[in-house]
Amino acid sequence: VSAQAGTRMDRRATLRWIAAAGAVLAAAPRVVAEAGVGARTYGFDPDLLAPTVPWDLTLDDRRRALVAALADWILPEDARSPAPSTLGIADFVDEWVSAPYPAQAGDRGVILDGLAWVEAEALRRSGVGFAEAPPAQRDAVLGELAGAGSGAPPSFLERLRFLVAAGFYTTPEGMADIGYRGNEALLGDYPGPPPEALAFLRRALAALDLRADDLGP
Amino acid sequence: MLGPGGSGFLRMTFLSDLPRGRYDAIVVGSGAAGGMSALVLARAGARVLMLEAGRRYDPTSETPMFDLSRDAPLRAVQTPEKAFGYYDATVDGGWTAPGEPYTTAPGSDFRWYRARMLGGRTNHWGRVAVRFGPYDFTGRTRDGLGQDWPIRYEDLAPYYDRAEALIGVFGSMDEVENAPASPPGVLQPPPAPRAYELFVKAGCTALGIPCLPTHCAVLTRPLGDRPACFYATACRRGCAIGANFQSPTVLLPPALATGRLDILTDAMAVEVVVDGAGRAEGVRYVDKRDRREAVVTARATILAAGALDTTRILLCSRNARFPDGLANGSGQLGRNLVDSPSTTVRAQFPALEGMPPYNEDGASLAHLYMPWWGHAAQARGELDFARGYHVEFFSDRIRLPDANIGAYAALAGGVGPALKRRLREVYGTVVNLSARGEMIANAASYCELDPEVRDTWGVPVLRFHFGWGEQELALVAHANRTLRALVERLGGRVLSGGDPDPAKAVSVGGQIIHEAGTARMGRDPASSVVDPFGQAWEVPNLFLSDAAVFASAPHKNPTLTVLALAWRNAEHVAQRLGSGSL
Repeated sequence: VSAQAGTRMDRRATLRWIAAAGAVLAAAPRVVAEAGVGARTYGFDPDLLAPTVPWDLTLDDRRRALVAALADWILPEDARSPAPSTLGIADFVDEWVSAPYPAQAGDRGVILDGLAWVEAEALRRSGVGFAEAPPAQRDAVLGELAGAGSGAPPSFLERLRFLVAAGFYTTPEGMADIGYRGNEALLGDYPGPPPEALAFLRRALAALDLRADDLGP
Repeated sequence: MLGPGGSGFLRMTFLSDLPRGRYDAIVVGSGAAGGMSALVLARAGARVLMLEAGRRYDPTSETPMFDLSRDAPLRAVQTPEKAFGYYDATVDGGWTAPGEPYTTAPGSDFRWYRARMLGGRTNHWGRVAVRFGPYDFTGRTRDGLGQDWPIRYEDLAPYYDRAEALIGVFGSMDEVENAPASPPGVLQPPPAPRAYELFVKAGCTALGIPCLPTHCAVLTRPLGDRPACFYATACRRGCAIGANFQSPTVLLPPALATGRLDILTDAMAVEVVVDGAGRAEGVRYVDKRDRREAVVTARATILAAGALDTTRILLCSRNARFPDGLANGSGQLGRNLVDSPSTTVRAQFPALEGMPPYNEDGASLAHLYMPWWGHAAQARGELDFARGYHVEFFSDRIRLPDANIGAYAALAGGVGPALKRRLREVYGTVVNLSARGEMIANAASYCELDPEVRDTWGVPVLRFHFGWGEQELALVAHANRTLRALVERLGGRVLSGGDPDPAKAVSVGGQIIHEAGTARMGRDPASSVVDPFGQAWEVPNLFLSDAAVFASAPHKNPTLTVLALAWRNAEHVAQRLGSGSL
């Protein structure tokens, strides 16, 4: 895990930061309780050609850096695609957990609690926050997070993985990685699956003892 | 005829000060029923005024065809304000609409999807355009349940032909029991099936289930000035090139081109105004921009606001002569509310892992579907439910990913390089199989005016009572067993849905957005609201032209039938106007 840009903090500052997580939760954006209210939502008729995010982002730099570091651990850079931190993953997660809609507001507590847990775990193990911790200690924290029965808040890793995948695979780089090949205007008839896909399908059906009559010769 | 490129809209007239008394017909609503009614009437020479409760909307200039989810808030995911995602072509609506609540009675759950925009829900709809079959008009005669229609398939068939030819429908000419083929030359060729569709079809074949090209209102060949689909971007965003059916690109431009149609947008119809003789004078509406009320008049009034809004307008048109709502002498207004009971199984198929990726966008809709195949088993008494269902199925990969793609992380499991590898394997191997069934109207499912709640315009809102019957639950249980057997035969695993308890598996009433039946047509004024041409029994110059008049609603998607019925009714109205009998 690479150290992310972010404010370096000592032990006391880290403890204050963790304590502040509760206060941040209390200040969560107002949730839309009823259709038509909530000035900070985008409304029922937003401009689809010029989208904007009308609510304020709420994560501080340190949380955003932590999100980026965790995202790069969840979906690391490889030969096919870059690290999520280079594609604005922290912006997306911040936008999500700051949003004034019920589903997103529900994720906010989970994510903030989880980020605080990561910081606390780093502090417990190394005496400094996650960003400042030595690589081995960071790996230990992540190992604990990924392990069964970790002390991390329930569903933190599941929701963070959802958000990281959501943010990553909606970028052109992520879509190319996962094999989405559409959104291109075609001339003429839709061609259907190419020969290599049909050949694959023929083998798959044969393995299931199913007939491939409709696949042509 | 004006083309789809926007010229029709540039020439559209929006009148704020209307001359009084110059209209032959008022049409309330601009969607499938309203658009078709206006087009047929205007082409026949009638002067038509259309009232639309929503704003002016132009798909040719407002549709972000290729914009990425990344460019939208929350990666375009659904929210309470955009129920089908940021780019979905629903304006000022969804499961809730600003300022326009509805209520449900204790113990009832019902959802009502609305769109307050020119063209209504035709902008967002699923584009599945199938005909009802001969059995669907004679349900009671066949099995003793529900109500027969007062017309037969043969009465509507010519209008199905014309509607399909006008809007453009792709599909195949396969002969399926009670799923009629179109005459030669009417349908356009269907797009090639995708690999996962051929895969599921092979499983269907093994189980004796037909799996055939869907009929969808998307052009695969140019039609008039409209180009064929270019097989990218989701239909439900709207189509800026007019290659699918939306009222604002297909029905309204030629209607406006006659010079005999005026359209008032932001005009929320409140009630039908009736004169001392019990005839409809016109419509009272609220101009939503300044909240002022006005009355427009015409020789005939056609309600085509969508089944439930049409019903609401009639219920609100109460006076001394019609204390229970206009045209409600039968007491059937608001009754017989049905929607399609549905169950969806989401399954993953290991056999598809490793399939070479290719462009699966296609028409953004299901290219294949399973028409109902159980007539013979029903005739032998082998099924514990009447009528039937069909199955629509689709992969997530046929549309641009939005934030919902994040769900694949849990499916793949783990973190790091292993997660990334596994995601590549499983993406495109998940198929959603959704059965859509027929509901038999029951006494516990209806809508009425809420005695207390009013909308922001001061108009009473609808209150829904709704419950599925034993018939629907038995149908859903059968569908679950079928879908699970199909998944098993294909070596897949069910990820979600298909609960063996049908009461847990079945959709919420209204959720499939196929609501119908609340002002049904019939032959007897004592048991129906309108006659076989949609004419209100008690108000001779008032007509209904949407799914409110369905005497029963089969499992088949209703829009094509709404279009065909509206055409037939409007032709009748035009003849009556021409002969001076209105």
